[in-house]
Amino acid sequence: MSVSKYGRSSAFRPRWWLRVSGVVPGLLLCACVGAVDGGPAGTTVDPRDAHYDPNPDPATCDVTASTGATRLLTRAEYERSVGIVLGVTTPLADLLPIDAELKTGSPFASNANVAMDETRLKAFEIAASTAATAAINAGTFDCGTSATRECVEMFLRPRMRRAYRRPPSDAEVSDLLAVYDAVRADGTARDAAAFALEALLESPQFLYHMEVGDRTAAKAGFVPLTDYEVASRMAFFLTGAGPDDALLDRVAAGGVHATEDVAQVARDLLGREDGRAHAVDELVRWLRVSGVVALEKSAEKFPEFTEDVRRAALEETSVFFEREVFEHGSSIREWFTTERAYFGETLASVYGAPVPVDGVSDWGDAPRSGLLGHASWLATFAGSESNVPTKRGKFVLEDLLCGTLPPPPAVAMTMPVAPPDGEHTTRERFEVHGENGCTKGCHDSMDPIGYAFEHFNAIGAFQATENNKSIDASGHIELGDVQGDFTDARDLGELITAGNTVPECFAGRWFELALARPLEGPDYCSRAKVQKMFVDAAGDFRELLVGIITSDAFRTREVCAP
Amino acid sequence: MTRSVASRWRVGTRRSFLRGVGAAGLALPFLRERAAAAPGDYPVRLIVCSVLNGLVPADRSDRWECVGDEKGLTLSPMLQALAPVRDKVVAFKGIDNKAPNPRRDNGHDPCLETLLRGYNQVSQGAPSSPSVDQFIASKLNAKPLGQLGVSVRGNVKSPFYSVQGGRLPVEASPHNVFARVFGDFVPDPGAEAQAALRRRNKRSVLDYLRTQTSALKGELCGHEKEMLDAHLGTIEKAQSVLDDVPVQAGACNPTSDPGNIDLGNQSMTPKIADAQVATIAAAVACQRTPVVSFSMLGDYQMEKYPFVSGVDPSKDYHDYAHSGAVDIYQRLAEWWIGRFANLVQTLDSIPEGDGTVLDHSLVVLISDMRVGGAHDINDIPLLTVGGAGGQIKTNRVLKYSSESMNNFLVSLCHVMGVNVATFGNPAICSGPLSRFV
Repeated sequence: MSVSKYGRSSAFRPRWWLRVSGVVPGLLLCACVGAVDGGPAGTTVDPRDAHYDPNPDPATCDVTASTGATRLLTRAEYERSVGIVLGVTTPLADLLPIDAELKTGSPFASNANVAMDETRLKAFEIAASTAATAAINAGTFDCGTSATRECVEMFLRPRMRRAYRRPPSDAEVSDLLAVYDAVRADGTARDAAAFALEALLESPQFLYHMEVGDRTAAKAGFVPLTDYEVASRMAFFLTGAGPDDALLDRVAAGGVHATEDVAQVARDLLGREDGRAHAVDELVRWLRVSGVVALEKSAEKFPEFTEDVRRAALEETSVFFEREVFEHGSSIREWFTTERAYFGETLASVYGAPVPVDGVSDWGDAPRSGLLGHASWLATFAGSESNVPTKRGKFVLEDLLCGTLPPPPAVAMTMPVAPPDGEHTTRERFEVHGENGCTKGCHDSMDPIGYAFEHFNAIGAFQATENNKSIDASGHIELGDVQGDFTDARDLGELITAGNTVPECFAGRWFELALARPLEGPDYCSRAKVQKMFVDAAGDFRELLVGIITSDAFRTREVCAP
Repeated sequence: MTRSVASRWRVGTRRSFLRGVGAAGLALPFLRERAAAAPGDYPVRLIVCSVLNGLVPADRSDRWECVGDEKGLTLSPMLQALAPVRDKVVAFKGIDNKAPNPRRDNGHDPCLETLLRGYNQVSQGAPSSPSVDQFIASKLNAKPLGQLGVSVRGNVKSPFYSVQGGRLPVEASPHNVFARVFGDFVPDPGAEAQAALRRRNKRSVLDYLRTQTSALKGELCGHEKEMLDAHLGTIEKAQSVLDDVPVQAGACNPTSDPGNIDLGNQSMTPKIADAQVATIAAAVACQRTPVVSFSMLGDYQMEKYPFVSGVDPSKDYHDYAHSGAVDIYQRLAEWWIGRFANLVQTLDSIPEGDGTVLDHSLVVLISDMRVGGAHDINDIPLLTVGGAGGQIKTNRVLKYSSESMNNFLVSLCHVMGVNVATFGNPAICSGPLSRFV
């Protein structure tokens, strides 16, 4: 049985090598082209996607129905949703197997291509049993020792509604009561309630995201999702957990149906504490700096890179998103150009900057600006002892500009970049890439971008010189509508965000996150519309989320005729 | 020399093989087949243990390579921990992983992704294929557990891939592994009534889950429906674990539940490894599963080794693989070999028939690279311990010249009674390894 519906990165790759995905057609990567020509035999383009233009005109293209994505909750979604269902918070995520990546290389998690197996089922059983026991021990079951059936039903119904993210049918209620009854026959009411809760948390209605739509309203291949399904999708996308009672009540009252109501609900969720926290978490993940706390650097070279510093680095980035997105309402352009910075004493000593007053600093004329001046990012994309410009350049190219590169050829693995020698600068050492015929093409598109950050060492501290030589952070970039010379990182931040490439790339990634599966041909038109909407909204993150949620792609699916 | 080994799981006849293929998802009544087996015959069990990122210190092959030939073997310095079972070892020389394209695929992923699949997924655009252990497990379709995936640490990239596609989940929590293997086993006979009650309660939960899943399946189609089919299949498996209560008798002596170990603590690695080894040994001795996939050390695994002397506590296996500190890299490799030795010795300490559980098993130690720092995939570090029920002549060094790993994978299938002509990419597979089985 094949459940690898989305497992075809191999089919996608060849077509995408030569373009900047979904954004800028026509990027040429010199020697990388050779990799395509000498590339794998037997790769095929999925016929289903072949006739979809990856870069359609958003004004005129026809939206096609998107496929459903029945999939298991992620570990974080599971833990938080159980908390909502039972009203008792228990640490559970670590009991479950690790999540899959949304697609290869994605910073986001999604189990779109993961089938249930014996190991997982057992882990879910253990987690459910742990949570159910904790809930009963916390005294949530209040029907007494001689619980009446009415009381038990009253206990289960609201929990079933939160678990199923819709009101349960009478048949579902009686099925669950049957579990209670079976255990109750030879056990206590508390035991029986615990087993019923365990069964509830193991039920497929809870474990899977599953949106089948309102089939009675199917039209031209589209099925609108039910209001409950829209609310559920929205809650997971915006808060990382299933809907709570307040949201479910709102659905029941008809308040999550009309587009303007859906938009309002989205804004309300985004304004909530959990909505903001989840957005910040996902943004931190998108920047790929979540792991900075566990990042190891050479203890000899950087003894000052302590756990406190690493925590402070993550904190800076989190606070940045929190303040910029939710207080300043900054555009994505400002994320890369602003002089505002939010750090405390710990990081100030690494930056060699004065401790900010009221938590906000201003870089002024320093070469540092925006997100790419954060220690979290600079340290994550560097080596243990020294800078690796390729890493920083690759992030900018792939994650900000949506450019793609083929996997490195074998020769790249043994390509000698001389180790730090106390004499040459990092740039001098890495420029051997640009001289070598084999590595030139690909590294030409990564290293020069990375050189822009040479004023910052491998933990993100400022360096005016390296080995007594002055830093050369200048370069040239040419990638779609991003074209020009830059003198340093700050200049690069201005340059890359001058056009639409960065917002379009970002919007595409977030659209994929909303659907929680790799995009396919039928999604390209919807993606183009979302990208245009984000550009039109001047790169406002909150408007992007609302726009995605109110889009047809988010609220409909293709007809499934069982 | 192939001896007929009747077993609980063996796919012994062509008829049952076809039945297994045709009835995907339906467990076969192997329990009854075991009852019909002659006394003294035991199922063959396969345990594949992987230590990724190489095992051979750079420029020090002599420390890894066993000396000898088909008449006998002398253990290398690095393999001294296997001395008590030396007579049951087969060491291999000259087996290459030919699946990756040497001109392009030299990162970590192509090495580990192809090792046990014999296929290059990325470059060849082949459909997602299982690793050999999972392929065998799917053909045997055993009860109560089809297979057992175990690791020593979480968040690992292992070389094991499921038949459904995607990386096989391996369980890092010793408590979870024990629970999965033995369910609600209670060693105290006085507590059996309570355990029976608990099993009955669990059964009512499974009945409920089956009803719910079947009902939802009717709402979906295509790929989404297949997801729920897979879900139903795992519920059936869970049911069979519950129905098949282990009996503490003979070789089967389930270790006690290792309980909760602080998985976040770096210095707990030895304790976790010991617990996993104990449960794996008990699982195969109790015939809970014919196939174990044991990801001892995964790729990109950042755990440190504060419990190994002379090791920088800020560095992991991969750091040392790429450092010049050859001796320390060797010491870390030896630490993992020690865990492997612990497993095979435990199996050898459990009597079964006129031999030991190890004699009826085949335990494989393999890495995806030879020298971790070089990412080289020729002359892969590989050895087996155990006679697989008399199918394999041990205490030998088998030398080949650029032999394809795929052929070794075919041999593994044959040892387990799964009759295939080739495995993985047929272009790099000519059939079973000569002289091995």
